[in-house]
Amino acid sequence: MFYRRLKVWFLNNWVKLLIVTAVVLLVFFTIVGLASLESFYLNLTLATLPLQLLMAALNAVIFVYLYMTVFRGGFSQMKKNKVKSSFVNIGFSDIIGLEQAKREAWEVVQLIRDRSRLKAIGGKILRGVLMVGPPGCGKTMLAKAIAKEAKVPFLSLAGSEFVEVFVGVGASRMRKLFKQARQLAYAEGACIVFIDEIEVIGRGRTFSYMGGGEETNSTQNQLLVEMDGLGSRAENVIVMGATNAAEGVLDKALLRPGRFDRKLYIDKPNLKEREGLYRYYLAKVKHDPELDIGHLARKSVSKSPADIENVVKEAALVALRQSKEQVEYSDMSKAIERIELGIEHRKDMIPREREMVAYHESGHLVILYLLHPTDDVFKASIISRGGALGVVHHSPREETFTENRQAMMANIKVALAGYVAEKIRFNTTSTGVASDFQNAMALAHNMVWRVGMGGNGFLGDFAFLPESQISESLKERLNAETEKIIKECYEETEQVLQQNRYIVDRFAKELMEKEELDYDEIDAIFAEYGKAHPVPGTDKPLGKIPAATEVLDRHLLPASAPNHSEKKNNGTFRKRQTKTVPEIRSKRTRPIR
Amino acid sequence: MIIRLVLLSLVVLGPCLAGCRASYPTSSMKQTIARICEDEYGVKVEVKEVGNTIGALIVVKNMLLSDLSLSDQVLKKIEDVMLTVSRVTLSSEERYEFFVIAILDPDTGIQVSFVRYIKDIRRLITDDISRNDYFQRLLIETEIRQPWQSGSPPPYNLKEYKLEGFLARQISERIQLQLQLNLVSRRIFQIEGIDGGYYPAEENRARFKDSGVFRLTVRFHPEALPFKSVGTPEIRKNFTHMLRRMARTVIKRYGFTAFEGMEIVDGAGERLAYFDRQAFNRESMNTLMELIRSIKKK
Repeated sequence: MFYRRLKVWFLNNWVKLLIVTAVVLLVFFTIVGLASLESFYLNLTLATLPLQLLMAALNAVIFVYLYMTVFRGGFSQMKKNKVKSSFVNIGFSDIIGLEQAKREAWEVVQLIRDRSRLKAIGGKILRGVLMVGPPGCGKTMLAKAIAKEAKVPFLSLAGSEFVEVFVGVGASRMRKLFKQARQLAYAEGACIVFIDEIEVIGRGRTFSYMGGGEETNSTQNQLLVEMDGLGSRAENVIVMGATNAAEGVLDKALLRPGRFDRKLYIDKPNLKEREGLYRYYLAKVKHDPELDIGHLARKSVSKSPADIENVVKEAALVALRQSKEQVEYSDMSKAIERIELGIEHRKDMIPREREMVAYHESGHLVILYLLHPTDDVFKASIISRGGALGVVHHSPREETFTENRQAMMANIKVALAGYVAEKIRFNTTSTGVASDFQNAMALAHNMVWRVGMGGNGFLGDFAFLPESQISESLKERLNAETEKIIKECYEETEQVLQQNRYIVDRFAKELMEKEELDYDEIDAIFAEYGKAHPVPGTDKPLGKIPAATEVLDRHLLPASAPNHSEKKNNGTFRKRQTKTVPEIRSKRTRPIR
Repeated sequence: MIIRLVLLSLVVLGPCLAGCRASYPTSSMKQTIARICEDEYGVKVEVKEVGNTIGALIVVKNMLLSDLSLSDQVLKKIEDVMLTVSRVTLSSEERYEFFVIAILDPDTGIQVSFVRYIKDIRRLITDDISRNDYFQRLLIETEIRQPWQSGSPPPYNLKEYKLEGFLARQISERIQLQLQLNLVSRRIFQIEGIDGGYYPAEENRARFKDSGVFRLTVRFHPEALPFKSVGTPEIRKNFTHMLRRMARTVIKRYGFTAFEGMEIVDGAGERLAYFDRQAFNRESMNTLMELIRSIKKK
């Protein structure tokens, strides 16, 4: 192995070696030559030596630049991308959560480590590992951990590094990359090539009827050939790819066995993993020991590890701005709001408009609290943020992977609630309902056109079919069903808000006074009217945000539990696919004059 | 990074390992010059040193051609010895200021000496002075000695040169060269020659201050009119200023400052003009052409 390493090192560095040898010989003969000169001429030469060296250096720089750009690859040259595994400081123990992905990754590591035994048996080391998942969930971190544990050379680069203005540069870089990887694999036994954002070069190839195609086609073709083509060799080069895109986006040839035959799904963390992440990142900042990690974890449903890290960093900045010595819960809360809702910027609204915003948000709030089966309201605010004049911040109590009809209908009702509240109170509405209507329309449309939740019995994904293949009458009927769902939701919303008008008025008044209400205040107000969510097993209203187990129990409560009449939950808890619930915002803007 | 620094240091400082001491120690300079001349050029020389002057004497028969010019063979030997002496004096500890190459013809007793200021060589090599200027700075002296037919030649009579005397001689040589080109002024004033000299303060304490004085002695033709009656006062003034400027050019090039002024006298020692230091160094618009114009006006 030492001989191989020496050979590879010599092949990669022979030019430098040659230059160094030439320089040393030059210096030696210069000394010998100068020593033979008489002292006057020697002094003269030494006096002009610095200027001559400067001129020589200048010439060398120009020559080397030309050489490197013209002869050594020019535009297809890549920056240094080799990472030494000993320099990687992330191991499997540093990754919180991702247990299943870590198990799979460990298997990959074992295969790499035991490659000689595997070869003896006649097996082949796997060629490619694809890591799929949302951004910020730890794909790159896992790749680093694999590199560190496997103790083999690691070449890392992004998919966008293969994209250049000039055609053919991508394929050229791919060839160079694999040549370097093979050399390293020859010297060290194996080599890992990690390509981040592989969808840039790995998306489905396009073939034009005229014979051409996108430039990334050639890059991808080169990758396919390098991974498992006609001339593929025996060196153990393992390609790891990371992508946010769905598998359907990537080319099928890339995903077939023999190339990326191992797929690791890196998902967003669950409740326990979020708690672990908060503990990990909070350990790096001074924080209140009484900080309720569970509460924070519940508030951070659908957040990735990168989001959680961002929240902790932002909380530290918030604490710093207030000259605090440690991060407290209020700082964490503000950090979450700042990140999710945006920075506050108060607008000077006339009292009537302000009241209208307050009623609009109260409408959303009341319907959300009373009717929504899965989401909790964490904050209601009439302070402008981003492009919105007010916001009701809610999130699921626990991540769910699907939405049932009830949840979707509840979402539509919540979206319409702002409009309805304005109409009830002022007998008129404003332009601020535009985004709410968009939301409601989109949900209702999807229910009917995509997932067969319309009441007319039409089943199938009609949005998938080309328009030309759907008859006009079918379109009319589907649209009518959509309209029917919206009307149904509108009527129910109006009924609930009329019944609970006093609560709506109360919230509007509170919002106009305090501008913001958080979960505890909201719950307390509902409790005053006997409408608070109950503590499981008792008929006492909840005074604080429940722990995770309490929330899960709530899902399992039968429908006859006190103060639970608005919930239409069937009480079962099913494992569902991930689907995030959109946030309801009032995109109220000033009317166009 | 460390390797690069080491290589860079090697490249920059390595040549310094060649050493910077003087190649030729002063104590053995005479022997060195004689040895190099004999070994490398096949020329036998007698080397002598007096004070700050080192001289090499070459004995050559038939030194002069029929037209009284030096033969090519002699010129070649002079060149070789001059090169040798230059090499050795430049690469030694700085002790000598002048070197002299003398050629002696035993049959005629004619000795021609070439006197060179060593610093001029250094200045030429470093491109501080032009080649033309360098050639003009060479002092050539001739001497008639007693010829001898056989046996050892008479001892080499080397004298010590001082910079001020060297400059004075140079001034007179250059002025004579200029006057040879300028027939008008030479014919008007009937000048036969100009001698330059430097008189230290000790000799002129009564008349001058502490520093010495350059003196130009203008030798007029015996039948020439007295200087004070030649032309107009303006013409005479322009003439003396012309001599002043030429002298100033030479002295300025050497940066010599140890003098009080310059005196111009005739052959009898009568003073024609005196310029103190300030007047000597004054920039003047008067040129040779203005002198001629003033003569023509007359």
